[in-house]
Amino acid sequence: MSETVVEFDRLSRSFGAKRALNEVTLRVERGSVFGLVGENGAGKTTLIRHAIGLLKAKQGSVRVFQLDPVRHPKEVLGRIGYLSEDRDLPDWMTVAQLMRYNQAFYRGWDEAFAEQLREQFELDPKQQVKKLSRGQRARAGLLIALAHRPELLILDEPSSGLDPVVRRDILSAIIRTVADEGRTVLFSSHLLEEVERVADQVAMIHSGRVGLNGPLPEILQEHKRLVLRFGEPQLAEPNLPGAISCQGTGREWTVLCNGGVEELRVAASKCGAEIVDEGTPTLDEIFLARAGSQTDRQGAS
Amino acid sequence: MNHVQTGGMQQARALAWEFWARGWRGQLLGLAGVIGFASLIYGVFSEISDLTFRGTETGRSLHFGFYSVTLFSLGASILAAWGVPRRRYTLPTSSLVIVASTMVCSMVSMFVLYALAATALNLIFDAGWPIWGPGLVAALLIAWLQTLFWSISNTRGSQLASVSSCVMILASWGVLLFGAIKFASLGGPTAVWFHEGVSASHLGMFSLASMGLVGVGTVGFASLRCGSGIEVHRIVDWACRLIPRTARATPFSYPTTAQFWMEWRERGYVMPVGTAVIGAAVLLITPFVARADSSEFFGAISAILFLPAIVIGLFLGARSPDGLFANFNGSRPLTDSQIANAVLKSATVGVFSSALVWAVLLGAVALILALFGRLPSLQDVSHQLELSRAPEVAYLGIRLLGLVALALGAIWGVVALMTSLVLAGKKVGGVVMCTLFGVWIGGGVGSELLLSPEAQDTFQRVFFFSFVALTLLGNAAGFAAAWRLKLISHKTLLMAVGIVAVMFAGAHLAFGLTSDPESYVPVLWGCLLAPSALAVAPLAVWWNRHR
Repeated sequence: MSETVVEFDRLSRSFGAKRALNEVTLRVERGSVFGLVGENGAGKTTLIRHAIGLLKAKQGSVRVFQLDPVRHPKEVLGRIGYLSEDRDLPDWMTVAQLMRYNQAFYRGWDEAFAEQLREQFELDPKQQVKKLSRGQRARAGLLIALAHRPELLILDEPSSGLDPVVRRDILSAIIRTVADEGRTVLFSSHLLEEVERVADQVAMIHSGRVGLNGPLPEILQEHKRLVLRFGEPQLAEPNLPGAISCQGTGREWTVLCNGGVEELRVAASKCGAEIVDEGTPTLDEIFLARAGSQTDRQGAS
Repeated sequence: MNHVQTGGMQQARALAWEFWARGWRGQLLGLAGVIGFASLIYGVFSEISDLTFRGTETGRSLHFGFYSVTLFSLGASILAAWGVPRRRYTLPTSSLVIVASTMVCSMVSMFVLYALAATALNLIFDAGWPIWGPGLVAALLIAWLQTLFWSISNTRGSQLASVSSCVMILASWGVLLFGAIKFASLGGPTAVWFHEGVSASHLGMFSLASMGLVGVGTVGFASLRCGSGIEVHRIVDWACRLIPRTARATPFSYPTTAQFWMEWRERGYVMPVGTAVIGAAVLLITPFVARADSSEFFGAISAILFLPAIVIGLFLGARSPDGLFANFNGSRPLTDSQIANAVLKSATVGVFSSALVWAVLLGAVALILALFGRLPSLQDVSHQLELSRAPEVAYLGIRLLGLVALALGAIWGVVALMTSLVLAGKKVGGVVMCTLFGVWIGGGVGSELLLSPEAQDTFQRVFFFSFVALTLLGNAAGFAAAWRLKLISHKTLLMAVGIVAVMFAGAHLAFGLTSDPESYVPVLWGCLLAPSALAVAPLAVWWNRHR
């Protein structure tokens, strides 16, 4: 049985009247690459800030390495590499000072690896952080998150500010390397292609709730995309049981469903439609369909 | 297609609307605050000592105090109404329209608000304070501030540096022009504009200065707008490159050492540097100090160290612009008490290094005064420092030593407490500071205004002892809570006891405390409160870091 590195148990959090997290239960296993996806304001960063102890669990609980990150910040944070969404770094430090300062906090700081990363990221050690471009700042943040070879790497929107080449070649490679070494990665992103490329596990958060959670291959396999052709043009969205989303106009409609393909096939034939194409949707399509259907449900309720 | 024609006047109106829409609440609040505060304080003064404001020296001094508070308060509200100048760079209009429209609004605002405040106080106290002269000077000052802020650079540091340099140059020029500074009464330039009315030539000077400021502001804004402005940080960078650096710095021995280094390099150094800057300004005016005022001057510059320290304390505790722990700071693998200790250590080094800088500067001031034959006698200095008896030289050293211990402890206590309260976040710090200040002022001033002289004495005695008891209880509760949360250890308690003992002994040496409770209770109270930051700081980090 694999070890749980991060555990959120029925975690809820409100900021004033806004419910940021609602009964979130998630487990991140050791050695996995766990992707948190959701639109802006869904609650991904709030969840991550709970994991590093910057937010106290008011309802429910959070455990990281079996410890409460609020009560044991030194023990927990010393084993974590963290890249924040806002790339918050001390502006006045030079890159070299930033590395030297961070080295003091982590026993596992690998000087040679840090230097290798600095060269790979093309960062000038004499450059001040405030003069770095947004992309360079993201790379500097990534450097200090990685150089002590943390047991758990937490990346909040790591792609933000990185150019496509760095994003595709470096970030993906880093995340896979960390996971291959048996370490754990928890990252949030709204770039679903990227999540699909590197994640083993995915949790989809929408308005503070976990909408979908599981191994990525299973999620992809469970969902089906069907293209239906109706005998007569449909003026309104056809009512098909089991469909998560239904999009199209006239005779041809694309339906996304989570299992229940047979049920949907029967329902379609009753409506006078035939399935002309069947395939596996991308994570992007699943996310859009689920986010849309949840918004509809919330609107209706 | 329907095109909307926009002329300069229309754009200026839009910019003026932006100024008022953003700032009217702050400006009204500032005005209400100034009138309320001044009425309260001056009300108490006139109750206590039956003051006459109109045409007296005291009235002029009180007007100067009111004028300073008005400038700060209304100036801050106008500064907030400007917003960020950078956002206006992309507006499809000329720099002249942008600068002039906002400057005119600021000047009108400043003049009208000052006029309203002064009129209100004139009505309440029959003060007869002038409107036109000070109002026009205030309008010019705000225009000058805008010119600096909008043309020098976009960073607060360089703006403050440029404002400070200008103030120093203006102060030196004023001293050279009007002679020695007399602290007992306001003389020199203030009398011209403030008390002798505004003539046509004054109005001409005002118009010329306003036009000059619009011109300079426009040129500066236009340069910044196209990326070729005066950037102070470039000069700083150039100076930094001149300083040789070691090729490779050694790693820190402990995480706490690294954290202290960061605290010091980020904020802590400001206190000694600020003291040095103020000290440089003091050195500039020292040769012009009149002999009669030199002992007062000594007393005044000794107190100056204390005042900026309080303000700097607010800065040392701030974690981010919104007062919360930012991601980088909050995610350091350190305990809450380790982070708090690093902040307190930085504040402590700041206070002690400032004291050292100040001691050097006092020595330099004494040397300059001696060179000009204006050095005050030891008796005068000891009288200014309110040491208990007219000292003989043999005892003066011991008494001064006691005073230094007490003063350093008190300054450290205030700075560390301010730092700790701000460390808890803007809301908590603000509420605690306003409550303490409000209760103190409310109890003291309220009784003066509402009670008969016989009842006042009893009430103030009860109020003072209740206030002392409550603050000490609060202090003890802070230590108990920090102990319970395992944020402090027995070492911290020992340190607290040490601070209290050193300060109390210092007070006894300096002032010779008697067994009368009125002699030692206030001192003991101050000494007991001084180490409160040792508990408040870790509690503040614990509260603010994990919200």
